[in-house]
Amino acid sequence: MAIIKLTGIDKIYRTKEIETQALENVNLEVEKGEFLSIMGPSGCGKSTLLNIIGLLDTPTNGSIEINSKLIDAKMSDKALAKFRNETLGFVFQSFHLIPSLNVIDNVLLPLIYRGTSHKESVERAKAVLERVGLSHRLHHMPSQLSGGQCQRVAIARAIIGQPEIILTDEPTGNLDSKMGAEVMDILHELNQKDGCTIVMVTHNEEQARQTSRIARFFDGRQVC
Amino acid sequence: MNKITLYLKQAWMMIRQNKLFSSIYITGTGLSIALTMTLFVILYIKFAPLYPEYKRDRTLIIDSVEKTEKDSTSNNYWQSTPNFSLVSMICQLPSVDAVTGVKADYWGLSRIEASTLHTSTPIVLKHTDAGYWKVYDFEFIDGRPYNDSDIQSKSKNVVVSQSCAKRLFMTEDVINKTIEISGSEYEIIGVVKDVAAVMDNKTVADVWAPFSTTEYTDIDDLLGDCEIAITAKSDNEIDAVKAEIAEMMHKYNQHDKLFNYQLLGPDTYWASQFRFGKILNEKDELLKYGYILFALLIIPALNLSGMISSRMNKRLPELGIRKTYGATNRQLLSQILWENFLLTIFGGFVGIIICYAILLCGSSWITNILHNGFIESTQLLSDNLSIEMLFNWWVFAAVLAICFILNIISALIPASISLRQTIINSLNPKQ
Repeated sequence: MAIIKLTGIDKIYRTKEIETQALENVNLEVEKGEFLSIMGPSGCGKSTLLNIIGLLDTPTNGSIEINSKLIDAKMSDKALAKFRNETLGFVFQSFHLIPSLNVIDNVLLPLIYRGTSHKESVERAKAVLERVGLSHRLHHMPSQLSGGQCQRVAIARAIIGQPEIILTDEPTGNLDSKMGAEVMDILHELNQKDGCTIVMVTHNEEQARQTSRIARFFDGRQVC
Repeated sequence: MNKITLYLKQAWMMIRQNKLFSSIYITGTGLSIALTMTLFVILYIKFAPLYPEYKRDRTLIIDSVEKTEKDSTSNNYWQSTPNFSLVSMICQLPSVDAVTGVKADYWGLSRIEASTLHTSTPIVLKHTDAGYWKVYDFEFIDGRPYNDSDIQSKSKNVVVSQSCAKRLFMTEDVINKTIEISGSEYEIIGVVKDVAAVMDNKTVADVWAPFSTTEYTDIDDLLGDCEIAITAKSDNEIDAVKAEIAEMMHKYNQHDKLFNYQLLGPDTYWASQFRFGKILNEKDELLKYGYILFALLIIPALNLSGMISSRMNKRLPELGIRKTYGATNRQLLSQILWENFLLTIFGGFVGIIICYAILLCGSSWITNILHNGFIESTQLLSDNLSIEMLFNWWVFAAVLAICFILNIISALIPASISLRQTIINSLNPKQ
């Protein structure tokens, strides 16, 4: 059963002088529990596609269905925010940790917007940080962590809300191979043990081959 | 720990991480708040119920009477302060609680010497009737005020201020002691707590004496040389007092065959501060204060807004990530306002300190502003502002309100503009 269903997705960026088609008639289904890699050369529309799946950007044409819910263009800011909060987790290449918050406060961020009590949020944050091997860094600031540790904090933040889908954009792009491997191990564990559906944008052929399926893109079109 | 506590916790971290920005922001806010608060304290002193003028909210003032001839061919016209006969007439009105006439001798305020065998000192001397002690709530440390029989018998009994007693006799225990003022001997029958020099002309003095002990001039039936203060029984009865005085004057003018008298007033205490002769233009005067307040708030708010705008650009990725994880624009706006409010509150504390420094160092300047330069400080009158003038809930509430307004003006627009960015643009601002 498809947990993500994209139909006829186009994305066109328009400026006064130029019109760029980033995605053209993309039809993609991702099954529940699948670990999908999206690959392709730079500028082929991989990240744009991930952003559209993550409801961070809107398509010019086409429909998105996630977890059997058709994402309506007329959905309010509040409804979209709630949907993202409950269903999706994000891991970015550049971590995107909030520099003025310590590790634990960064991790429990999604639960703040869900209205979970602070006590429960802290307990869950400690649990996920232990899972990613950072229980000894709870009160460190992001500036005091290595790149690999930052990405593990970002993964902890992505999974604290127990989303069904994790979207990750080149999660190892800023890490050395050892740290990259550690991060990939965590993602595989989440996919296999927790049954999380993962969609990952990557340039790394080897990492992609370890996932359930690869979708390749070129010039905004899915080529296989 | 709720959301607001987390916002404030983060704001505190940001203050620590961005010390230069925070210092500039807090100092800028502090200066703006200090100036606004100074203005507010001056207005508070000017209008609020303070010792000994606790009944300002139900006080009416008559400082001038206009007299014209009934003969329509005549252009003769007189204007003067009223006299004590008018005080006696007003005293009879049913809604009047108390009324007093204070001899209007501004030019005689200073350089009168009071002396004992040991020493002499320049004083501010005020001549009043007995009703004065009912209209104003002086705190008697010792003795009593002079009464109607003292007035009628022209008893040379005086009330002195605490500082005056100490200056002349080195003690406050001065009842029945005598002082010499302008060649006449007076007996001290009461000692009152000092009145700050910033208070109204009618109450600021070192020595108070019955008006009957001095030569005063009743020009005719109603014109003379006193200023009148009336208290209504309650602030609800102010209009009733005004109506009764209007009715009284109507009847008076009907009986007088030659002249028409018109009172310039009675004005509420508030309005009387804005009267210049016949012109009473509260709205324009209030507008002036409004413009000053606006300038004091808007100019720094625009500067602060620019600073916040630049900081919001740096924080765009954070806003993006918060939106990604479920924050709505409304929640983020609330967060930014709370964070900024913390900074503004710090600015408020700095502002309070600067304001008190201005007020304490510049209290004689404030006295001059409030008295339009009319009052000349004696050695006794204190320019110092009292605790009740400086530390009161109204002043602090005003500071809080100013902080809130500054916060809204300076943070709302840059925050709204930043939040209008899409999540993708926020996450990757360079794109």
